Amino acid sequence: MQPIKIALAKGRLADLTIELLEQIGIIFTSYHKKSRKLMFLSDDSQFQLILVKATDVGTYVENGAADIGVAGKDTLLEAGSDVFELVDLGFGQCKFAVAGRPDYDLNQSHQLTVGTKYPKITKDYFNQQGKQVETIKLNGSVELAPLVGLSDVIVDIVETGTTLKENHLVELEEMMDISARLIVNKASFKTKDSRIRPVVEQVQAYVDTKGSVRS
Amino acid sequence: MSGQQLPRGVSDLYTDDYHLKESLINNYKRLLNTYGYNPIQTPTFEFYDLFMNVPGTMDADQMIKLIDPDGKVLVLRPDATVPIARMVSQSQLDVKKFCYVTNIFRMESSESDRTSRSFSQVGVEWFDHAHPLHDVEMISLAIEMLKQSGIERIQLEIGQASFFKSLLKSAQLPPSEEQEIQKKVEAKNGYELKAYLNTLEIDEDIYQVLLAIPNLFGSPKTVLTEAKRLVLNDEMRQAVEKLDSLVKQLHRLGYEQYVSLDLGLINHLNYYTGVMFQAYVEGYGKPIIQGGRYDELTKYFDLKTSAIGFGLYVDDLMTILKQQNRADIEANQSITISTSEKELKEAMDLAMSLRAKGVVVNMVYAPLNAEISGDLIDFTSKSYRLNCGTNQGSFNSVIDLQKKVGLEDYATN
Repeated sequence: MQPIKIALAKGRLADLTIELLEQIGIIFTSYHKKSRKLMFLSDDSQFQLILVKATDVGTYVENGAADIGVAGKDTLLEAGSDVFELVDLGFGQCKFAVAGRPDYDLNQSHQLTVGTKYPKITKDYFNQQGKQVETIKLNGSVELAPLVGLSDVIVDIVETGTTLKENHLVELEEMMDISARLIVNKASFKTKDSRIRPVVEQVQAYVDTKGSVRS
Repeated sequence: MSGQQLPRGVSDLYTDDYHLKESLINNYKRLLNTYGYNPIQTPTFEFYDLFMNVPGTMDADQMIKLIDPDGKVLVLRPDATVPIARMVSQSQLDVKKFCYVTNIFRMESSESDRTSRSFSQVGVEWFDHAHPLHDVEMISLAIEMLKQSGIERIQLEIGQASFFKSLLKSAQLPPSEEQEIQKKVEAKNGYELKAYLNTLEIDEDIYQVLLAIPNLFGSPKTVLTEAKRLVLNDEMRQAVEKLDSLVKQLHRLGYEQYVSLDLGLINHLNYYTGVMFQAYVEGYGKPIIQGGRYDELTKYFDLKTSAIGFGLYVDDLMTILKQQNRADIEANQSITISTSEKELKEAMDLAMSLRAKGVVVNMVYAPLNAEISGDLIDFTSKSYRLNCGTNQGSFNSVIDLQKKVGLEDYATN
């Protein structure tokens, strides 16, 4: 029988998820943090881990290349992935915020220019408030944009706020909390029901009782 | 050079793929004909207004638009059912059962080419009086279509639109809140659904049932037992009863192994009013058949009728067939006949008689500039080589050739 494929984002999310899976008896002895391998088989050969880029987890799961995935709510929202989103795993917690220079007023009557890695989330958020914004898609060092005049403000993930502080920016508006989510391909959840549902239920039960694994 | 490239989301089909596609479609046409469905075709483009007059069925951003010289907006067929409903209402025909093979065009904004902007659909529409056994026939037809193509591990999932709809209606929420709830249920996102419901003022009973809906899926027996327990009003009770008797009939017909239920199956809710179904194949991430009963749609065309139908995504089916190594298509026997001007008449006559039997005949004309492989009859050198070279020899006339190799039987060999 084909193993159930689990797509994880390389890095901290993967480590935490593997810890969580171990708690419910799915063990990947072959997995090492430093390995360059991208695929690992569980000890009982029932599950296969695939390591992908965080923003691709949704794509793998939506297309059925992976049955299960763990991804941040941020990447799921941005990609608009059409998947079942079943468990809030509770780790990888952070929030989305609008940030800018301390004296910046968000309620000006001109069109805002927003630098961000997340143009879709940004557009959706401001549209809901009835504000038209122009987004500038950036791939990193987003904090620079308002400093050099590329944009008025930025939309980004804020964990501790240290990066903002060091670049003399402040949080202007809190947008939403995000955390890691367990997602499942819509077809797999139906066609492999008897193998996937127990995993989901055990993860849910574990998260409910123990809280989640912490980094 | 963009002159030689294809736009995003469309692709060429090479011979093997196109062959496969045609043979699939031809088989389906034959099958649907034996069920009494009449083939029809609607235009490739129609007025934008046609689709916008039917609220909530099509995303305006997904339509591929053209502008007529008089300024009217046209769209490439974004959906098969709406134009057929229009056609049926205008024609006032007595015929009620239709089938189609058509291309659907959708603007996909996705960054990858994976989602195609043009895809083929085989489907049926039945304008009926909502007889419950019609639902049974439709679903069994959907299963039979998949079985006929040879694929394995099929699953047909059935839902009931009115179960969720009437529940939501009884909560008396504004449309924006209904939409938000629908979105969470569709994603089976239980924790966000709960968090959202907690912000609303909802009757405790309704609250509990709404929370239970994402998990109302799986084997018919379990789901129906649970659903009966959750019923809050008459409409919900009827929905469950209908589903119950539908499942029983499918069971009697021997389809039990393929059927599962999901009462949280609520996509395209503005479209469907009764039974809804979609088919999955294990190992493939998308549904390959989608359909259901829709009564609201026909109202927009002043058509007092119920209707049920489904569409099968041919391109997805092809991918699955290739995945499961079931993409073989019967190749016709083929032969090469080589000739020069002198023997052209005899060679052509022979070619025609072979073709009449369904043999593929490739004519080549001397002088030849390449070696010919496979079965060959060479009129220039009066020689033949058949059956992978095991039957070789020479002949002095077509009659002689017939005698020697029994070409009469060639096509049936």
